[in-house]
Amino acid sequence: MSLKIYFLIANRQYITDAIRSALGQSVENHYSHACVFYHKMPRVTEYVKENIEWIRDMEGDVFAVVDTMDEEAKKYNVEEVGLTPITLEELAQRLREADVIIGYGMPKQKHGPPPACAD
Amino acid sequence: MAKDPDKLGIFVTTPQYMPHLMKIVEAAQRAGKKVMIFFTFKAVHLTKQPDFARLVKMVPEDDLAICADSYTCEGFDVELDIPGGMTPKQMRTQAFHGQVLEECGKYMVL
Repeated sequence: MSLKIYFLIANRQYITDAIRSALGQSVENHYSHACVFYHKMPRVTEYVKENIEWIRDMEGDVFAVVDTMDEEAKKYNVEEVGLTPITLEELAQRLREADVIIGYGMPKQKHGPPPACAD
Repeated sequence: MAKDPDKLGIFVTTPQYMPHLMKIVEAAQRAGKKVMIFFTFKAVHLTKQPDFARLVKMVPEDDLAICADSYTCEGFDVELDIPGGMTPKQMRTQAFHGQVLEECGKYMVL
């Protein structure tokens, strides 16, 4: 049976891997969604782009939760990376239908990334 | 495979909760439940903690796995540095997480 799965990603360091993990469940024939809260996406490589496309091909999606992002992160994530914008209200409605909700990784970072790990 | 109501799936994503994980597994087994555990991304660092070998002994081979790609990404050698007590077939892909979701009647994320 295909499950509706939502990965909630609160920590920037975990975004890319959570998307990879979401793709893993798409490949297992689940409806898998990744939801990025708060942060600007780390450097978007071809690998990450392909992962996002593949999730969408398998009827899942990768969302940017726009209510929790500042303007710069929202603009980058939606306009440049092409994440699907979603409000907290809309996401809450979707989560009511979810079979599995996965809080992926550690809580939100308190400080922005230093240049050493900024991309 | 149908979900087993007496099986607890644990998806471990962070490297912070080794003591919690051990206590949860001990409590579940004491209550007569089975556990199935998958370690991914930064959580693979838990394989280097002293308690990890004890965990490996507590859980059957088919029910414990770590993500081989994450293990490599975190700088470990997936062929020459298999965590103590584990076998090469426990170095798995995200498909194992799919198996956890399909087989376990209860599920939690750490």
